[in-house]
Amino acid sequence: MKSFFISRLLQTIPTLLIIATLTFFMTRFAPGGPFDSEKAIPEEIKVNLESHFGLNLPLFDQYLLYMKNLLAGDLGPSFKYVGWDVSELIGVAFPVSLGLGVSALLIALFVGLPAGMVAALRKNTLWDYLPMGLAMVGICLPTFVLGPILIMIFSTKLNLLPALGWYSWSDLILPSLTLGLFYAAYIARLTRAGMLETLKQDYVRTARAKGASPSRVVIKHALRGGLLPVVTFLGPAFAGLVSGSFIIESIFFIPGLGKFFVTAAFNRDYTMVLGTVLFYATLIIALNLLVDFLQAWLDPKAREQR
Amino acid sequence: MNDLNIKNLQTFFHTREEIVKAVDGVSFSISKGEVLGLVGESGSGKSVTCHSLLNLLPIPPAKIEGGEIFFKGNNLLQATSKNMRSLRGKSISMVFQDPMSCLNPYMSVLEQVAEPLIIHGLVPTQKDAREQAMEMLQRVGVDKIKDRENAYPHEFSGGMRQRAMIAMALITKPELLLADEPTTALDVTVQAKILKLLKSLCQELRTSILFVSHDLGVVAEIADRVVVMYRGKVVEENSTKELFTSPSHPYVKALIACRPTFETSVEKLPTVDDFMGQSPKSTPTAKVPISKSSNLNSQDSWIQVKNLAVHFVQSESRKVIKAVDGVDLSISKGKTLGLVGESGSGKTTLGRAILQLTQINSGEILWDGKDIVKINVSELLSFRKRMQIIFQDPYASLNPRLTIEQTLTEPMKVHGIGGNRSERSNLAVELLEEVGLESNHLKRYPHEFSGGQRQRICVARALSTEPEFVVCDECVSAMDVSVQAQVLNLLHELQISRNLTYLFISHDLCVVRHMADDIAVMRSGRIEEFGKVDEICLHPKTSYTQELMDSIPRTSKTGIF
Amino acid sequence: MKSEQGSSLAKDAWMRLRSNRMALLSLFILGFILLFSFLGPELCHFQYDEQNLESQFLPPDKNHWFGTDNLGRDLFARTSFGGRISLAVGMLATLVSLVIGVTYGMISGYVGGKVDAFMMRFVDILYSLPFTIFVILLMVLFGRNFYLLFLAIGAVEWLTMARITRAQTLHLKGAEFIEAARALGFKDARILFHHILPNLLGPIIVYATLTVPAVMLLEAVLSFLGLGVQAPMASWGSLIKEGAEKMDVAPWLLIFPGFFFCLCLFCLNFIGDGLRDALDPKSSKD
Repeated sequence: MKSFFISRLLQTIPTLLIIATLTFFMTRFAPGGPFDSEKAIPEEIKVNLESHFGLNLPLFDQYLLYMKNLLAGDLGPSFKYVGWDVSELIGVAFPVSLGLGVSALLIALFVGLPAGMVAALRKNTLWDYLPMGLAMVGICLPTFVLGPILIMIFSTKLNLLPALGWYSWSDLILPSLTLGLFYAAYIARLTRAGMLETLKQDYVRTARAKGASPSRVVIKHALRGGLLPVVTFLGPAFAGLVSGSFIIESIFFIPGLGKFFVTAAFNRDYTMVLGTVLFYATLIIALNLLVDFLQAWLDPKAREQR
Repeated sequence: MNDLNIKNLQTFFHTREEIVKAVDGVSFSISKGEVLGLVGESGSGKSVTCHSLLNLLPIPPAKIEGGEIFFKGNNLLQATSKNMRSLRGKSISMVFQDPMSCLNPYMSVLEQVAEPLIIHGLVPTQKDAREQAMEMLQRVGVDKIKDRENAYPHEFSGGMRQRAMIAMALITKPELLLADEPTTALDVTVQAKILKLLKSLCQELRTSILFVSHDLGVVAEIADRVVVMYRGKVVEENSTKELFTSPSHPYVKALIACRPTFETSVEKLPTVDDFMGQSPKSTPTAKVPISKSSNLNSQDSWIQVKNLAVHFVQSESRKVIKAVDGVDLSISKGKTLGLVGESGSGKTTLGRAILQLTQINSGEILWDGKDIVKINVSELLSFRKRMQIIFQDPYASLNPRLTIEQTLTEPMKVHGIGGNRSERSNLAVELLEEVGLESNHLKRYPHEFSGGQRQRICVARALSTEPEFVVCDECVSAMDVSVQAQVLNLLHELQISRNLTYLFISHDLCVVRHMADDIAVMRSGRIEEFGKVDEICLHPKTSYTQELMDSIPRTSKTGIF
Repeated sequence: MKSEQGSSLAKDAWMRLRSNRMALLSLFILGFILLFSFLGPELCHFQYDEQNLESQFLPPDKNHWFGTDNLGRDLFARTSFGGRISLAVGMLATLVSLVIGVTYGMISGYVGGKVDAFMMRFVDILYSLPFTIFVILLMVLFGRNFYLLFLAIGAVEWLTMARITRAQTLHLKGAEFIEAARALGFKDARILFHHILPNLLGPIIVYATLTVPAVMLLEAVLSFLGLGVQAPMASWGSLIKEGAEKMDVAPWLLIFPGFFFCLCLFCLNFIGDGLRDALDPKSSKD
């Protein structure tokens, strides 16, 4: 198993290099440049700026230079936020996104898991139909519809919660609810299906034949197998939370990394785009590795196959 | 005194379309220390009866509609769920059929064996429970448990898992053990050991057993008394000896007669229909010994396998598995070579290698001296016309999306049999009739047929290319004995009418003995013994073959026949 | 279907689907939405891009059934036109992912061995890329191009399709009826297209049904970020974006496109679930 994880870790290096290369050339071949769009920069200033950031070098040399810096851990300066390094900008913006993502995930888990469990254990009763009906609605209600509706209800009409901005803890509530409810719904459905599948297994019948109480049957015997699909889903969920945060940050005007990324792409802020993409990629790969660990911990057979 | 007394038990399944009376008025009792065999074919309701006792059936769709189950004077059907739980695993324990799916894959074996003690509060600490579990596992013969304290079920072999299941069931010293087909998934040699273990342990603990099985031989081996079920009802109840010597119900007579036994050989097996009075033409008592006429030397061997080897590389561990490891065989035209072996012996791989369905590593396969390993791909494709295969699972071996007509005519089209569509269609009808089905089955899909019928369709498909050589890979192993007898008879008739040569692969020595002229015993990729069937069965040369023969559960060992 | 006597799996599945009330209702509603999207613009006497600055922000009335937006454009025309775009993107991108994914997965699964290992490793690597980010990047950098849009989305979605197809192919390849087909001397192409592909259809249909809403969602996300179709063109995503910006003044601008979009996702998900249960009765949820 150890070798499995070592090989996975080693595999991330070429993956990241591929991503860096792809993004590098994609940004460079795209029409426009960082200093094109602005109203009227005098030609010599533009040339100055370009030579300052090394943009006058041949493309391949720029690539080599960037990769060299990258391997040294330097993401370079931002083209647009003068005086800021890309890593500094990420350092400022990411905690905001992280707060949003973590609270959304917590909502998803704390709502989704119990709802799915209850639905599975009370199959074909109101306790099943109600949460599952809501879950279906939750899956079909995209964040960019739900978000504005929540704003309309809770801030505009009821005036209970702040709608926009990022100043206090209460600003976190609506955005993380908006982002988390979809995942809560999805997790509830997965939990229900997983639990039902496990409860049908022969070993659960064995546990009952031993005289185990219903709660013991569920907690000691069924839960592990039932939660495996949820754990597997966490991988794509992390990636989804990242891209979901782009939307949320733009609806609620939150100064998170997603907002920086989209702005940077629009402004052709090459280093900022590259830096954020690489950062996100590393994050997602790391989280997927974490999911693999979790799976191996839960499932002894998976441990061996690795 | 009776430990368990069942009166007029009725368990029905309520499906959307109908009510299935799985158990319909079953009564029997078990006295202290007795082993009662509960026998029946699939769908007879034997397992449902067993599960009803502990109320383990899924409700709905199952529902116990009526009757009484008295265990030491208490009616279990009126017990509260709390009382029921205190009986389960403590006074009444259960062993299930498939030890892989019945053990929790996420929990160590030791923990699971210890669990009943903890649930019923029989030991003061977890540590005591583990110690007792360790002791029990050693007693049931789980090897090296000391080094495998944290081992999970998938790290155990099938036999060891079943031993662990038994340890788990007996650790609380129950008064009654319900054993639901506990040896069905195991090899015969392992089965023999498990049966012995079960019997001796239960005698020691004075535990009664309700032993549920489809296999009369196994029941004869272990039970004191036998109850036979048929379509939800008890048709006969008698002491084991009486039941086998003088069965009274025609169904029971049929069941006993239609299994091929190791001792006697008959040309044609009687079937249940013969006894139930549906077809008067056949003679139910036809247990006429037939002479096996084959002589290895007198006839030139037709297909010769020389030094055949098939190796697999296991994807995870990169270990090389020598599934077939240097095999020599010869098959005579128009005869049947029986290939016997336990699971993992390589017999299935050998069968597929001879048909060139698996890549072989080395060796020759000669047909009339022509090596088919060396011929090129297109030649092989047309050569396939001459050799066919019938598989174990008739459910998985028919394409669910093709009608029977499509299934039967496609091979003809590929191999240029029959000039046009309607001609091929007529040929398909002839084939269906030849295997005992009707022409109006032609337009149906596989899922509309029963298992036995499907296997007949598989036989028809194999015959559609007019082959000379057919590999039967465990082709009756998944069937009830009554259906098995019909399919075996069919194969036998076809062999005579079409002069077919069979490679008959099976784990069941009785069936192989019935079908084969020559026999090859396989073990770990090698041929252990090869010769004429009577010679090997009566005078096995190696100790392994001897062990195989001895492990066959048979009525004769109890001195009944 | 040539045969009259036999009941094929497809027929059985259709019977089961018909007894699933939610799926059936969803099918009807979806049909209605399709009609609305493709015939709606003909019914309405306004063009989707017809501006009328005298009738800005009109609430729904009998002239403008769904009201008008900030430029006085009729929302009914825009919603039904937007539906056309959203559904077209959903279906086209699903088709792209279907063709690539099924071909790739089938080859990988059927050939097996080293080729399979290599092909799947490639998919694994692509899988670990933050693909949504790439799609966003692509759209930002190369401008909002309708074809690029569904090409990019299709390129993301084919990965899962390939995985599913490959797993199913691998499973089928081991099935005894495929081995029987090989024993009967059938050529690989016949086995692949005559025996494996028809048996793959079930899972593929189910997954494709569930991919359409996923694609529509992704398109809407892009539109919402201002990266989708360009005004005066409209998709449900871009309409929702406009609606969300002006919901204080004109809530109907959010409500109508939002309603149709959610309803459509709802139906597709229910149909997908229903199809899964109908095609694979064993895995049904009882």
